[in-house]
Amino acid sequence: MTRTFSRKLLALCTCIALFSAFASVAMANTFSFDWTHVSSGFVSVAASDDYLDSDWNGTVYNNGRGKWNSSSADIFISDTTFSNSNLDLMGVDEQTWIDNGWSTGLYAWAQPWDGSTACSDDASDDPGVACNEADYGAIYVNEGNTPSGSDFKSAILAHEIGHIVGLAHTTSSTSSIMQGSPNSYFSYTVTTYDENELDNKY
Amino acid sequence: MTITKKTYITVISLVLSIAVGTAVGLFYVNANANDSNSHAGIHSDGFEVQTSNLEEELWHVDAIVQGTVLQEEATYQQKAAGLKEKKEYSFDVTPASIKVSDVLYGDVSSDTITFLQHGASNESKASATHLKQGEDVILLLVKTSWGDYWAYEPDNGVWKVKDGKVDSNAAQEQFVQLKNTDVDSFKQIIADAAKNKKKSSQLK
Repeated sequence: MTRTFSRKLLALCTCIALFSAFASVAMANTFSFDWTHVSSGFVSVAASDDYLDSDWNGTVYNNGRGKWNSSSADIFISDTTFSNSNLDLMGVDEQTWIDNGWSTGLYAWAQPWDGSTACSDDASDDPGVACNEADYGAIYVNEGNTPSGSDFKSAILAHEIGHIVGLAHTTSSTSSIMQGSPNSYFSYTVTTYDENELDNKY
Repeated sequence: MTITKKTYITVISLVLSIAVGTAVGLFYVNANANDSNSHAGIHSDGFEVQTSNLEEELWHVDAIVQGTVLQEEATYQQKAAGLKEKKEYSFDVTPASIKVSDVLYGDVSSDTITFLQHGASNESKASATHLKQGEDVILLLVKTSWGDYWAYEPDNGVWKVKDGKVDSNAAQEQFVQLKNTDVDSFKQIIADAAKNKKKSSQLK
């Protein structure tokens, strides 16, 4: 009788644990669209900094790519020219940023594309609503809000690259490069949490 | 068909495990929710400048006005400016005419301004946030190169006045505490902050 009860209790606890894990995973911080340049779970991005200004291009941009490339996540972001890229990073001057109605409190925002369809019109749109997949991305950098510190700038670019491949803002108190602002949990490097988010998505 | 005691207990156990397990999982997620990242959902794919006070938050604001919404104008398509030739996109804009009753900050010479809003009037999600005719509003604005205005930020920049109090969808920490403030106090606080606006220490 005691043995039977123990077995039933064990089964009940296992079910509770499984549904706890299910509920947690269901709250993962990813968008519902998928980046299409993926082979056997490995994500590839061909990026260009041809239209970034001197505050952001070169070393800052390369170090931004490097944050993902040096992580253990299954992703590689190569550097290429504007004509060959599937991700373009572009500086936008302050007045143009305002003319487009983009929030002036942003450093940058990321816009995935599915063919000729922009998945979001501005930074407040969830790109997963309009798109199931994305084959191109644009990252717009607000030249009206240039931060001090080159490593911080690189981290911002890495953060936006994360959006293009489908990572959303991290909403838990976890060290992550995908926090939505430079709060106390924002990491300048790709963390284990970020690696898991990307690898679990693909 | 009779339900055996064993089947009954199994079904109850399964239902209980789903309910408790899901509750525990969601509790775990919510318990780890990050208070300082409370507005992560507003800019779903952008990265925000962190500000320490209202003076820093209002750094880019060109004008602050109180006024009444005269009417919503027809939605039109605006081509995004300043982008390179590989991809181009246009987006819906729905203007609203605002009769200005008080200029709290900035140089607004006309007594009627055009306030621009993202989204089309026939989209339920967008139009739910659009200003409605007759509303008394306080708007924190940036000016376009052609003289119209956007809110400097879609939630923090739009405040509605009702029964002598102000309210908004603001999630930014400095603004949340101003919700339900009486209108005169709010205007004084905002005007003073704008007059003393300064760049965030994070910015170059």
